[in-house]
Amino acid sequence: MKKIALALLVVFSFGAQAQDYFWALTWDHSLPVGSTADEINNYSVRGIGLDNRWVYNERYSLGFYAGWHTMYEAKENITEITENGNTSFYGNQYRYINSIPLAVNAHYYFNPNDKVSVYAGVGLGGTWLNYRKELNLWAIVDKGWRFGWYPEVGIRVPVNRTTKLLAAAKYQNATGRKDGPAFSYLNFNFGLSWGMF
Amino acid sequence: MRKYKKYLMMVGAAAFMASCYPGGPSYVEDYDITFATKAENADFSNKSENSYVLPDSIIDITDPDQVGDVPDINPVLEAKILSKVQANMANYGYTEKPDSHRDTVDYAVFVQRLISNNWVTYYWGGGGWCGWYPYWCGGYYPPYGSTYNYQTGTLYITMIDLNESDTANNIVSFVWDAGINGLLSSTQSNTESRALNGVDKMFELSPYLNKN
Repeated sequence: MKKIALALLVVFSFGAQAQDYFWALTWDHSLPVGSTADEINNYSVRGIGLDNRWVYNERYSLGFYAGWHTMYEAKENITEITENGNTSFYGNQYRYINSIPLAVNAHYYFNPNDKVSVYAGVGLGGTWLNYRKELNLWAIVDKGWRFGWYPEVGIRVPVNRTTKLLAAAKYQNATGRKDGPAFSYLNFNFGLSWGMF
Repeated sequence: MRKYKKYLMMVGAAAFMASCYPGGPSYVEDYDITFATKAENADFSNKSENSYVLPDSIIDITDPDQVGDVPDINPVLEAKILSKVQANMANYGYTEKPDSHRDTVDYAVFVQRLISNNWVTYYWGGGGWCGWYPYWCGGYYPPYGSTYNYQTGTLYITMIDLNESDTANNIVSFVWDAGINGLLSSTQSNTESRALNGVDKMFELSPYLNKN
């Protein structure tokens, strides 16, 4: 976390010299992929994201992103066997993922002056993730901080001088940790950006 | 005002998120969990060891310091559950013997209802079991294979391998536990079907019991 805070500080310091900046507030949708989809396979519209970027030379930006993404699936009539093979459970399971990625990011804008501006970038940081599998009144919980990163592509379309529509796709990754698997999901962001870029 | 508008939108979005937090179970039966555990050292491979005794009632197990407030089990339901257990045992090739054979059979099967939320101190109190099997009396009985907290009303079946037990010294060998969590504290009209289907599922989850 100290490293993330330091990185944010650097970004803010750099931002003070930047010419342009913008904020974006997005409605974030999530689609679990890979082994995460084995746990929860539902498309989720429960999510929100906040982006802030400082732009340099109209082509590059540095900033940060914070999101909150919730995924859920009820799995009915599931049989689960413990690792030693001796115990079996049967019943409904209710599975939840709450993911809060916090990242510093860098982007490149391919055609900043066109009507539809396309960009690509990456984010690096930490993701606090809580995976909860409920069976009856029992719950198996895996929660904590993980290293998080994502590649991103997006577009921006002007609404007026300071406001733009924004749509983006991120491939969110939260790495595995002790006794906990990695999680990944596609993240689709729809929203508005405000600012001088 | 424009500045405030942005913040209002943020707050609105957060409120929207909170209102959309996903739900969970809707009906009491959505909570039903059937479980079955084989003891680490259990060995059911000897097909000829297939005789068992089954007490003719479901006994309540409780922690004497934490007695639950659970009504008596419906005797009709009790009989149906015991009958279901017998049918599943027969289906797996076991032969039930009368009480008088309790010292010569291979297994003892007990059907119980837990009326305490804390399994660590489950206590086999006086009453039916003491008369039936003196080595149960005052026993201390942690279920095998897990550290879960079974709820009040859990229907619970235990199998003991009497060939591996030293009943004279109150040492018993638990080889199989199975149950449905919390079911028998329910007053739902569908409790019977849930209980009977659950007993079937306990045996289905335990194919290693099969002596056929």
